[in-house]
Order: sequence, then structure tokens, then C-alpha cells
Amino acid sequence: MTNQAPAIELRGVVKEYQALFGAPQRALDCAELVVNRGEGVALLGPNGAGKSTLLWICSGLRRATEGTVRIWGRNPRVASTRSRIGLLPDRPALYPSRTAYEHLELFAAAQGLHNTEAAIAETIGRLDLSAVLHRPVRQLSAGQQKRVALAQALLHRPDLLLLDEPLGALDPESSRLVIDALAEERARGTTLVIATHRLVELAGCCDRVVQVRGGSSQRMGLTPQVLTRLPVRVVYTLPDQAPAPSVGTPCPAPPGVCIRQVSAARRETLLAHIQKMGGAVLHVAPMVDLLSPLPDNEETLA
Amino acid sequence: MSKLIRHLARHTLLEAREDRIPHVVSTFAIACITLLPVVRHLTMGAGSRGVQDVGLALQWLAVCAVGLWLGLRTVGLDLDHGRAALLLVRPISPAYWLAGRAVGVGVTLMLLVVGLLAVWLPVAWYFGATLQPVLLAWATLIWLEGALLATLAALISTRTRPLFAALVTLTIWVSGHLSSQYQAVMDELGLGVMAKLLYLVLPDFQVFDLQANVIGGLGASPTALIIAIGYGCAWLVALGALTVWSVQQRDHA
Repeated sequence: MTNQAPAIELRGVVKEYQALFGAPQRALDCAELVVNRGEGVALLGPNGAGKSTLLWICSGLRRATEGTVRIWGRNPRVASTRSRIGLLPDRPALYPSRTAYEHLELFAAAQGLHNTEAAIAETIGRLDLSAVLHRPVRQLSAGQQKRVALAQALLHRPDLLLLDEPLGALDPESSRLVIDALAEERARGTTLVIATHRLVELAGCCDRVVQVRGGSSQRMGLTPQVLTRLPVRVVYTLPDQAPAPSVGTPCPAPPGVCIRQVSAARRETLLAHIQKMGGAVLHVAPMVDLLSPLPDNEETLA
Repeated sequence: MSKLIRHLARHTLLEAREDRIPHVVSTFAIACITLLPVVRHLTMGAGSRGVQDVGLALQWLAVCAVGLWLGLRTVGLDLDHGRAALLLVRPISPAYWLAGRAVGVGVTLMLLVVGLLAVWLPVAWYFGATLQPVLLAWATLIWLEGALLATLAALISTRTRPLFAALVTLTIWVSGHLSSQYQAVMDELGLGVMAKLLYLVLPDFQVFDLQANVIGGLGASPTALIIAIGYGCAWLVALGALTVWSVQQRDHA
């Protein structure tokens, strides 16, 4: 049965952190998650919702207080399971005085890779790290450090990638590199679980979206459906005499420009109003971080 | 896996260089040049004893302080900053990670002891001290004490924050050097059994103290030396095994 088992299966997972004084803190409360092999799943949710804890539990580095955790039908703490997992933590936990190359060499040795040189060369090529390869990590920018951390996760060509904010601290160019690398992994059949606030950019790597809120997970639906349901922030201009739209909430904006936040259902109304008044829409940005306005959970979509 | 241990040991050595550990040796050399003539002047009637006492004590303190720092740095801070997690998510046992770190710490401390001795030998000769083979036994035992302190700090830091781990380790170390005084006080209070029990539970650092033998030119009994080394190694193995177990049991982040 193990061969057919999903890549990740979490059933009723509870995670409590013991406090020295007072009651334990519950980070996950009956979280359920099933991710099929080769699937890409985005975990959305506000800070402190339990997304990172969920990833760490999947990696086997943290134990669930209650519930079942299975990776390919097996215990994630077993070495043979861990050898197929790649983990990118939120903070790039690297040795400041060591170079990117030394890091990759160390992780290759820990992974037991035989062809270290080839694996490192391939990974640095994918993430365009050759220029900074022999510089101590402390001299690298936050974005470059993030790419080094991602390189260690990709080095051994894992079958399951657990990524916590892979685009955090990255500029648009670096984001593009990372997104391309993740898309390549998806094409190769790697299962991706990505905790992110930047769903729009990573939409191509994720088949569906799971929301984590208050320590429990809720299926939100397939990525395209979620994207169309996201509230948006519209940047636009209106002629001086034109009345302000009646839909949406105005946001602070620089002189000469208006910004209004509106739910997905009212988006077309707002855009139509701007057009009718002779205004111009400059930018429409989906608001992934504004999860509360998402419609009620639609179980059937997932 | 020997490749991993080698890499980690090398990392530890290079980090030690970054941590300015060579500066400890330089500081000791400067202290020898500036402080020891004053000590000799103040202890005129004692020959080279006062100078030797201060010089050896400085080296011993330097090795113990560096041992404590390395224990916290290589294990406690790695766990605290999440660096250990990136290694432990791989298909390796924490024993390999800790073994690599232990080899690195051991070699770093050895280089430190050798560096300090290299500075000390000409200084001791200049001040008229008689150099005897017991100095090598003393150096071996301060290395062992530094390694034991590093392992103890590493073990405690797997369960608490590095700063608190440092405080607990220092407390155990000081208690370990006062074990005979402690035994006498407990005997007076009629609690001798409890003192013996604590002696068994906590390491006795007094067994590594050969400073009086070096200064007095007494030499050291081979049996006592073998017992001290055996005692230190047994504690190293026990604390190392406990550290591996503790890392296996804890959550990582």
C-alpha cells in the first residue's frame, strides 16, 4: 500500500508547545492535509497561523503532540523518508563565516551524495549563484542567502519540497529564478508544499490552495478559482469632477492617484465605474494576505 | 559519513579562527610579557613559583573558557539559530553531526593548548622555572577538562538557551572544583552520603588539577594520570551519548 500512499497525509494533527509557566500553546489544532504525489499545494494564512509548524512536522524535525503524520505512507522521522525531502526554512539558517560552496559541500556530504561537484554545479547554475559561490555568507544580501538556502534544499533532487516563504526577501529578478526552479521541479514530478503570502507569483507551481488559520487547515480550492476570488487593490485615476466610486474601501494614496480595495465580487463594478467616469486603471493587485474577505470555505472545490 | 565528520570538524576549526581564538594565545603572550615581571617582583621570596602559578592558571582558564564557548557555539547556537535543523533533516543520525563537532572542538582545543605552551615554555625558562615532563601531563589534563566543559555545555544547551546553559555549566564546573571542600562541609552536617551521591552524578574537575605538581616539581604518578584520563574519557562518552539522545528527543526549528 505504501507505493500508492499520498506524499503527505496528516490526520487530526495537534501540536502544542510547552510553556515554562502557564498553559501549553497550541500551534496546530486538528490539522488535516492530504497532498498527492507530484501535486503542488500553497499554504496560505496569516502570521502565526501554523503554516511553518505544519511544514516542520512534515519534515520530521518536529513531533506532533497528537494525530497521524505519514510521508509516502511512512514515518517522516525514518532516514529513508528524510533522504527524499528538501526543506527551506523561513530564515536562511546558514553559517555566516562559511561560503555558499562550503555549505553545499557540507549538505552534500550529509546527504551522502557521491557526485558532489556535479550536483553543486547544477544547482548553482539553476539559481545563478556562481558569482557569489566563494564569498562568505555574511557578505551576501538577504536574497542571495535565501537562494543559497534554497540550493541546499534542491541539491539532492528531492521528491518532496517543503518551502517556507521561498520568495521572502527576494527582488523580482531573484524571484523569477526561484519560480523557474520550482516550476522545473514540478515538471520533474516533485511534490511541492509552499507556505507563502505571494500566491499570485507562485500560482504556476501550485495546483491548489489550503488555508491555515488558527492552527487548523481548510481546503480553499484549486489555485485559479482561489485567484479569481481574491479581493483586489485597484490603483486608478479619475478626472477631478468625477464622483468617487461607491464600492470598496479607499486606501491611502499619493496625490493624483486613487487606491481602493474591493472584494472579488465587486471588482467589475469598480472597474466599470472608473471607465464610465473617464478614469484609467493603472494596476490591479490581488490581495493574498487579506484572507478574511475570502468567501466561505467551499469543500467541494478542493 | 566520515566525509561529513571531516567537513564538520573543518567548519568548527574555521569558525574558531573567526571567533578570534588565535587572539587568546596572543593575549596570553601579552599577559606574560606585562604581568609576569610584576608577579615576580611581588613574590620575590618564592623563586619562580608565583610566576608559574599565575602563568599556568591563565592557560588553564583560557582553555576552559574557550571549551565552554565552543560547546555553546557548536551545538547550542546551531540548535538555537536553526542551522542544525538543515543538517538533521538529512538522512543522518545526530550522532554524526555531534561527532563532527566533537572532533573539531577537540582539535581546536589541542591547537590552543599547544599554542599556549609554545608561548609559555620560553617564558617559564626566562623566569628560571624548571621544565619537567609533568608539564605535558598537565597540558593533557587541561585539554581534557576543556573538552569535558565543552561537552557539558553542549548537552545543557540542547535543553535551554545558550546563555542559561553557560550559567549552569559554569556552576557545575565551579562545584566540580570544590568537591573536596564540599565533601568536608557535608560531612560536618552529617550529609556525607548525599555529597558522595552528588560526586557520582556531577563530574569532579579536581582530578584534572596537576598545577601544584608542576609548580612543586613533584611529577605525577602514572596510575593517577591514567585514572584521571580514564575518568575524563568516561565522562566524555557518557555526556556525548546523553547529548545525542537529547538532540534526538527534541523538536527543531
